Amino acid sequence: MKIANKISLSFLVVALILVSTAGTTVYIIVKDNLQKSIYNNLATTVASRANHIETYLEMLKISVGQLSKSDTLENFLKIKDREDSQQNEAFQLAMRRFKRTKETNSSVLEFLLLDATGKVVASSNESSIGADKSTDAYFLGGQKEAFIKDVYYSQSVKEPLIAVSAPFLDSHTGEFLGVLVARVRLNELNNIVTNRTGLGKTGEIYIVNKYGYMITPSRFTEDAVLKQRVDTENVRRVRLHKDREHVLSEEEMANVFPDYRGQKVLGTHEFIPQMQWAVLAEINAKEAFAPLAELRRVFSLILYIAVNAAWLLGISIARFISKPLHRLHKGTEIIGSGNLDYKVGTDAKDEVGQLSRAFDAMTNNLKNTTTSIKSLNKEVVQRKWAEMKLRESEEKYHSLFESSHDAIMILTSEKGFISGNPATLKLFGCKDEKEFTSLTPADLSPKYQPDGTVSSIKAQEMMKIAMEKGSHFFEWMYKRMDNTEFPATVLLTSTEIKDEKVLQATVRDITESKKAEKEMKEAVEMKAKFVSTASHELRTPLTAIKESINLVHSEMTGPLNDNQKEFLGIAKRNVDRLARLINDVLDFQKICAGRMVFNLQSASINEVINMVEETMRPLAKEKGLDFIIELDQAVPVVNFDKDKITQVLINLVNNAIKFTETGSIRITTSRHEDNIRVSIQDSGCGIKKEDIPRLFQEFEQLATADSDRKTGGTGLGLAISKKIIENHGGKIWAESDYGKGTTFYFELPSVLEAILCQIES
Amino acid sequence: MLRRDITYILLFFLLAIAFFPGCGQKPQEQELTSITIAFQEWVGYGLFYLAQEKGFCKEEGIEIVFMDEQLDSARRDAFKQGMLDCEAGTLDLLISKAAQDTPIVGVMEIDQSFGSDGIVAAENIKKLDDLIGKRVALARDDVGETFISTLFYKNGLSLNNVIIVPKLPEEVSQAFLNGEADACVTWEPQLTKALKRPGSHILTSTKEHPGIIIDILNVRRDLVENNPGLVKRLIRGWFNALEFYKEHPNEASEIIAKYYKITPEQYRKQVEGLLWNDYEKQQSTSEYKEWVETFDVIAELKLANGRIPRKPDAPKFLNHTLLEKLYEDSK
Repeated sequence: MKIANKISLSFLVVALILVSTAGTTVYIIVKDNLQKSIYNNLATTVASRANHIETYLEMLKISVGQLSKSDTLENFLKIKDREDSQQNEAFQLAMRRFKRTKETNSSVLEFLLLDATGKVVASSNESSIGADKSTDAYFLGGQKEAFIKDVYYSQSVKEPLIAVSAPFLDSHTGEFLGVLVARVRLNELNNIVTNRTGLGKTGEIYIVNKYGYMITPSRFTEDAVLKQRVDTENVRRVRLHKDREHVLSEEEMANVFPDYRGQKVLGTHEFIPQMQWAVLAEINAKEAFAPLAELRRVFSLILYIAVNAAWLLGISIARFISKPLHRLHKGTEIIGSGNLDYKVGTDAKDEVGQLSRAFDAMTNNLKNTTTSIKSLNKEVVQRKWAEMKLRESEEKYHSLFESSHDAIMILTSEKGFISGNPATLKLFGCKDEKEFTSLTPADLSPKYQPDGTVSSIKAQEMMKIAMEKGSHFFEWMYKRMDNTEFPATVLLTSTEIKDEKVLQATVRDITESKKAEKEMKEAVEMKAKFVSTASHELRTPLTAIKESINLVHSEMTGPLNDNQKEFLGIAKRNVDRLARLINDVLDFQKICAGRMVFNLQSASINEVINMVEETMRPLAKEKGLDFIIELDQAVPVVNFDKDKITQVLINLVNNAIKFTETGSIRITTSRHEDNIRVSIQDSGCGIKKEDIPRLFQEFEQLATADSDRKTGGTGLGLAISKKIIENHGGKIWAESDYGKGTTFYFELPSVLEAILCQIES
Repeated sequence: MLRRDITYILLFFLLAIAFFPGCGQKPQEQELTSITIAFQEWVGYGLFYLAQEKGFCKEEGIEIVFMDEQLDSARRDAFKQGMLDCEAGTLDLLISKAAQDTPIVGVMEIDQSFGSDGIVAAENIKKLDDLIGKRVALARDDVGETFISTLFYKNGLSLNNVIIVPKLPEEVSQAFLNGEADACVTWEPQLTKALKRPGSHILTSTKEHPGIIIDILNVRRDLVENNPGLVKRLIRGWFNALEFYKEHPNEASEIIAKYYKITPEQYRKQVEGLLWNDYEKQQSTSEYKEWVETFDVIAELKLANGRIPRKPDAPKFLNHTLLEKLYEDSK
């Protein structure tokens, strides 16, 4: 269950308990007071009526008692058995007395005067005279003292009566003469009890005799007198309590119970001991407790309102409390997911606010700690990695150090040699490392280096440079232990070993390479000299041969027959080819030897192309090829050697015509960024893709798609072209679709002059 | 979680029910049928108190409501008006009421006087015949008169042979002590009281003549006819009390004695003067025959003495069927 529900439910329960307890307590108190009040009213009423009844009964007894002292009646009783006029007169007097007394008391039905045997000797109702009442209760009960016979149903008058009797004693001797009886109607008694004052709408008071029968009329049941039995709690309490001497409590006196009709009533009683009558006062419980019912409704309403208010208050407080908690919870989830930057803190000054801020502080600490740990971990990993790498490096180094064919040594400017690998020991002819480390760099160098500098000074200088630059590569003349000298390259590298700055010197004996270099240099020079010389020497006779053939062939020396002319033609073409070959070789040699001079001048590439067109168009036409020139007039004038570029263009166009049997030759110019681009496109046989890289190599003549080497080239044209373009700072390349044609491109930079100047320098 | 919620909700409703005003109700007690009984103060009837207090009646589902009604005529009137359910009284009083068409029926013998009733006589009166011409205090048409009448009847005498000094029942012994009479016919405890007169003695008593003074449980006729079960339950309660008394006389007498405002010892002493016949004896037909015979004798004497206008028919006023079938049906 959520904390909000718990809080609201707790509020509800507490409110329910408090309101119920308070309500019940107040209700009980009010109910008790109200009940007491009702009981008291009822009890007061019934007590008043009971007193009234007792007074009435007492009055009846007194009245009959006084009458029983009547001289007239006593006189009559004494002479009743006589049969004379005196007796008759006494009888008449007695009768008149009865009638007179009866007239003054309307409730008396009749007076009876019984003699000692119980025989009626005089009566206000003459018809009763002579009746034997010896066994009647009023006779038996009235012999000693005033007696009231309980309510009985008189068969003679057909109504309920009570009889009050009193003994008639001789006023002189006290002898029992008889009993005076008054049979009394119940109207006055009924008047006393049926008065509903103080009984509300449903209350009634009635009397129940000792047998439990109603002797006064019921308000609700007709003909109830002596017929309606009342066996209710109220009557039982009368029986139960009638003999008790202590004063009955209100609760014992009054209670709620079903009445003789089964209706729930609030009732109380009074007991009249002399008659053993119960005077019962009852009021319908609903009416009696109507204020209580109203009170209950009010309490229920209060309970309902209070509980609902508590519930709502509980919900509000629960939300008020749980909202920041919920936020805190949400925050913890966010933080728990790894977002340590999330803040749950509020400005609230309560405990939750404090908690949230403390939580933020904790999160911040956690973040710092986590960051530190991460950094630490990273650092540890990095260190371990570095250590591992270092170890590996050291191992590698050691392995290299030990197995290297180069001499590797560690030295410092202060301590000299620290260590040297086996190759070092071998190189310098040391017995062991101890001997090596005892030497100084000066011990292993001749006094002077080949450039005349003092070795020790130059060595310090080299080491200084290496220390400053990190490394320094130079050549050094060393001296072995046997004082033989040898050249070597030295790579001095500045490094650290155990926090100490040291130099590692890698020394390679270059005695052999120096020797080879020298030999190669000599050979190249010899070759160049030979080529130059040979070419030059070949060119001179060749020129003479060529000119001679030309003269003969031109028939300037005389007419030639066809065979002669044909053979001379063959000779002339081969001489030309040879001349071109020699020129190419010379050019290539010049370029390679860096002796070709480039005469740079501002020129238009388009003009050069136009000139080449004029030269090459006839040749193309001769083969039936279209010769197309598409020049971009916007290409700028740049610096280049017109003759060399012309040579390149002629070479490329010549190749195009040479390898194209049908179709066209297309020359275009265009500008590409700062460069001008020239393309020579043919629709010839094309070049295989794998052959393109070999195109610009010297003496390479690729086989064409049609036939092998029928073109008769030198194999140096493209190589020379490439050298020329590159010497201009440009580039040349080819693209070909084998079987469909080839396009050669070259580009010349617009800033060519500066580059060429740099090249030349 | 659902269960916990339900628990909270249940708790809430329980609290609501518990704290809501006026929700509690008392368990209802078993409803008892009340039956009213009236009798004069006589130790022989004490077992009714015992039956009530020890719960023998409650076991039978009835509650006895004791009526303090000393006057037989008042009880008669109450019977006639249907207000009184039953009474304990002597057979002679049953006869008197029967003669006056009182709607009652004797259904059980309560006790027989066995020394509790008697004639206390002055020193000079040694035998019954000595009473001739003497003043005898007694209550008219009461037990004393019945006892002496029956004795006289058996000895060839009648009440006309003595001078009756009529007194109220409770005044009889005092009249003898006062010298108003030479003898008195009364019962305990007045019998003992009368013996305080110097030279007085018990001339004779029911100890020598049992079977004359019999106390009967008289029940209103309509109850016997319409609700015999209720009457049987009362009778069964009585016999249960009798059984208890015989088994636990001390405890029983302690319960009963307080109703007579005497000590248990005194009570036990007084009941020595009577016989409580158990169910075995009472259910026998011979017993019933004795009741009828006694009824007839006393009725004859009462008629002869002018105490009743006519002789009532004994079988009409004595019912033995309830006793015979006392345990045939339950409650």
